[in-house]
Amino acid sequence: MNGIACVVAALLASGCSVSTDDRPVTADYIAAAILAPGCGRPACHASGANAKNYTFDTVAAAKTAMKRLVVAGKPDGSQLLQVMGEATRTKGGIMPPDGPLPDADIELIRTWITDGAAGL
Amino acid sequence: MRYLLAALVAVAAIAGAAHAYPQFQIGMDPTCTGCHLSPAGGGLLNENGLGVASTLGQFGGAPEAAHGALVGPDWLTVGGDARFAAGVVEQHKLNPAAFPMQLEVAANAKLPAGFAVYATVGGARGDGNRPITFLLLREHYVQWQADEGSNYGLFLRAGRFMPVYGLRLAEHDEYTRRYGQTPLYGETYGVAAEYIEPTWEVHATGFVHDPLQDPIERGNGGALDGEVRLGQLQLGLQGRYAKSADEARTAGGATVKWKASPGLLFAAESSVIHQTFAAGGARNQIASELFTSIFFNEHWFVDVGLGQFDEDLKAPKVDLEGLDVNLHWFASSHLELLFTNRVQTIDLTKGGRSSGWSLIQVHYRL
Repeated sequence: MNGIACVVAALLASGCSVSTDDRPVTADYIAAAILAPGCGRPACHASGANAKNYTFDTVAAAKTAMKRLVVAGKPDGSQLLQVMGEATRTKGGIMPPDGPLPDADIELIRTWITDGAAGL
Repeated sequence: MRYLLAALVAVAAIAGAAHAYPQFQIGMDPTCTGCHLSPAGGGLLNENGLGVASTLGQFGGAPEAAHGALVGPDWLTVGGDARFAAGVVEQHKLNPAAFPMQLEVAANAKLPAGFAVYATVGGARGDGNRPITFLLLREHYVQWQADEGSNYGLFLRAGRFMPVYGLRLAEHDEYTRRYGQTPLYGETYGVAAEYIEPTWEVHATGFVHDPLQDPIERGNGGALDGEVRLGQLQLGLQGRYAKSADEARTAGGATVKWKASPGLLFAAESSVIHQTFAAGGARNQIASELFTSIFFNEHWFVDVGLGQFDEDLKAPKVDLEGLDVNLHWFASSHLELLFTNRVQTIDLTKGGRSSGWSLIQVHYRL
């Protein structure tokens, strides 16, 4: 029932503009809300495809992958951001390859890494 | 080489499986069962569906499996789909792309007393460390139909199939599918009770995620879909709930389909999804699609689609907007050529990142 109420509230709020990003800056939230839907897709980094030996379709799998791709405190040295970011973009190898992640999502990941990448 | 790899990964993400063309509903037959064996549409065609396929094909041809060479006994229907695509994928620069989309065979065996068994076997992009993952048993279910041989009445299904929700567009990269409740390879194990009449239908499904093959839907839950047809207008409402170890999703949506004239169909779908995460946090999302289909004649039609997806209504600048233009040509009763194009951008009007693709698809129906 609570879920249905939230859906109705969301419908009513859908026309509202937003200006601040107050999403949780945690490993679990980033894994579940950004990396799982953005990277853990069929034929990509879902378990069944496991492209490049990286899987992101569950929180546990995504966090395992993040450990290999993140250098705590060093966003520019973290491969996770490199493959999503401008440096890679100019070379044409940006991930996800069929449509970029929003800058706001990348900034959330950057903030989490800068703050020490807690939770891995 | 890096560009090529990126392009291959990109196109693999776009690759998918053939389904019905809901664009034909209302104009040709009021329900999916008018052309398909499945009460939800998609997959193998029934006798009327084969007739429609023959009509659609500009250069005709026997519509039966393998051009009539694989016609078996009355109780057995076989078929399949092969799809290939080539073109360019754009993200900052154009990358060439060519890739297989689908290779799948299907069979339906009628059993006594209204029962039938339906199964598909195909290939998928698998994990090289586990060769079994290249084999995909996408759909397999037992079906019982109260009024055997009819397009209407009560259908019961048990097995692996996609819980019915929304417009069920063939284009699985439309936002209402990709970010909605029917993602590519989103089939689950479940039981469904479905009742279909010319003027209305309802589908209720309870499901659990696939414990055997790597699932895309990791949740267990239920889906309810209802549609009412008022002449050339169809209205639908949907609801769905799924809960996995990581998250829970409650979705509600509405669909509209209007055959404005013999050559013009409008279809729209919008869903709101409330998602809560086991580790904390929640968000509300909206996925919407507006589709206009223009039928030049029985062999050619074009879709112009507008899509919008907001991954978090409370977060700024995370909305995604897309424009699709898809041109379909049914060359023969078995061969379709599809020119599909998309441009999409994040945070429209604010200069967000853009991307897209332009692909020729060849679809051969066995």
